Amino acid sequence: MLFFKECKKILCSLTFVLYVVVVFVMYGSQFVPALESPVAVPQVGEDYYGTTETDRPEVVMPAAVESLVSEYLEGSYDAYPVGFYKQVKLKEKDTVKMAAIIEELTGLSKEELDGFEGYEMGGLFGGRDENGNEIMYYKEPVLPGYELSETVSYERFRELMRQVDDIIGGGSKYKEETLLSYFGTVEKTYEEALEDYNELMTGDNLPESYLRLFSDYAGIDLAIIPVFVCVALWQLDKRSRMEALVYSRKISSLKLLLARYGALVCCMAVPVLLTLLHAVIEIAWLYPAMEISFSSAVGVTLLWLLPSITVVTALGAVLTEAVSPLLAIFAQGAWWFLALESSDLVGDITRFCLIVRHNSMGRIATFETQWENFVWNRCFYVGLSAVLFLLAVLVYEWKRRGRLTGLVFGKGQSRKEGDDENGTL
Amino acid sequence: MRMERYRKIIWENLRHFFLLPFLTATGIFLVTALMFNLSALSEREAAKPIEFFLSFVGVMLLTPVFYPEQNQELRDVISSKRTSYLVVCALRVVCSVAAAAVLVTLFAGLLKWNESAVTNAHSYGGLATAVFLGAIGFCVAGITDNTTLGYMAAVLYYLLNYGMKDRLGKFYLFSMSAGRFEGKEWLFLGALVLIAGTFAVLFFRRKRWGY
Repeated sequence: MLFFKECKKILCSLTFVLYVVVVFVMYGSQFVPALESPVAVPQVGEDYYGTTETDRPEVVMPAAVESLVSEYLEGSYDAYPVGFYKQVKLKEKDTVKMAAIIEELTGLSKEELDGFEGYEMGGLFGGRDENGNEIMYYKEPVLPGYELSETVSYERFRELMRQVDDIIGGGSKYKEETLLSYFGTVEKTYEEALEDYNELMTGDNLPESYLRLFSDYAGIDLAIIPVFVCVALWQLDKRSRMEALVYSRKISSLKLLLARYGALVCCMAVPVLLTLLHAVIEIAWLYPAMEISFSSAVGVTLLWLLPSITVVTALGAVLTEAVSPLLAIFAQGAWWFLALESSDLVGDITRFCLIVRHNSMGRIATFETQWENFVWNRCFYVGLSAVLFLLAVLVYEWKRRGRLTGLVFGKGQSRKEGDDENGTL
Repeated sequence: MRMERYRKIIWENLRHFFLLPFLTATGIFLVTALMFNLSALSEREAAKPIEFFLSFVGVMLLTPVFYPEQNQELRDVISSKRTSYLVVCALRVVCSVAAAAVLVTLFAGLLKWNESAVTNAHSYGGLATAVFLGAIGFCVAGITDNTTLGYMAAVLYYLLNYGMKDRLGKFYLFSMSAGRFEGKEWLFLGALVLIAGTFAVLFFRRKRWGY
């Protein structure tokens, strides 16, 4: 009964209406375009079949080493430790370590590298042709001559790249997770494109791929927007001066907050489930000839998205209860921003990042290799939600018994009231 | 006499209501300074931490201006005082904008100290972005009488900038990061319209319906 009362309060609130609008708009603008037409079969003779990552040493090693030597000669290394560009300049002892790694890979000594004076940066440059039109052109870097060491195995090379990333301070191009996307990206052949298409059309891969993309987009807004709905409901008692009245009721704090928290999670899950239902129907219509089973895909989607709602709601609840709604919004905003900026679009599912991303219809093998991290991550956030919720119950119980009065809220409130009595304003 | 009263109001506000918003804004300042590389950045790179993260100091400072009186009874008490409630709120806005200016200028100074290519446009543009984003929160919070909605509106406008980019025209928040350092006065103007519009709505609402 209490649960439904709380649901009614949530459904009638303006913050929830805005939440629904955000969920629908994000779904409509980001995911729905992927449902406009079925995935096209690759045709022989097309100019471009997309790109793929390869783990072939003969592709990855020369490209990575060339980049490393260029950055050494420039004296700075590009990095994205939290998603934003950082130009790292190394201290002398780290430069020595870096030179030793380059020497192992190329045979170039530190003296040879430091003494080289003809370095010119490579890459894409803008300019004008003889008619004055703007053009882009690619220029090879000018580097000292070297040969890749034949004694360095691919495993040793990967190990050295990990060391390079550590020296730079993390988030560099040489990081384990992004090494292939920077240095192993090659154009797909027709055969590879056809193979990828056939894999996508096999078994449950098609619905799973679609719903992975759905979850990727929905996961971004579900990692921030629930906090507003939660904060608005959580301070309703205080706003309507009902706190003391509710405190005096017989119902236990656990039961009361469980009803409130459960109502929040259920109400906020409904719009997500509606968009999911729409996506499932659209996918089934898009491929009428195929027999598609959605059971496992829908299961993965729920495992992907529900922990985001539960943990964001629980954090909002405990911070609003213990300190202030302002702090809850600030903390969640900062957490969301850091999570969003520190996760790559594909292939970067870690155990603790709030936002899980796989922004691709393909790359099925990449997701499968990270399945263990994915399950760990989502289970961790379910556990964290439970801990945070119990903490909120504890704080509520303390406030109810008057043990927190004067520590967080009471002191400030009595001061304000005192000031009004003084007639200061 | 009046100035003395205003000085007292500002002092009491700073003591009781301003501390938490200012601490969270300072938190954003510190997180931005610790999280981003500040040394030897180009003009465009230096604009990124200012526009993408530091701009939230405006939201933290301006959105909660009406928060202390969200409780109707408390507002009734305040309304009975000699100084108009809206004047109190206007003084709070002045304090918040001044605090935002201090934090943005300090951050620009920090960038300069770290040999980044910072110009006055960074401080001016950064403050304009912060105040405009904060003014959105202020406006929604004031008109709906719900501070949470104010925060939500500001965050949604921020997200909209990620998605719509240049299509927001003069009100695109991240223009300096895209290499355009002119046109930030539109954000100031927008903020002014939002703040003045909110006061106008509240003034007529109080006059007509008494709340």
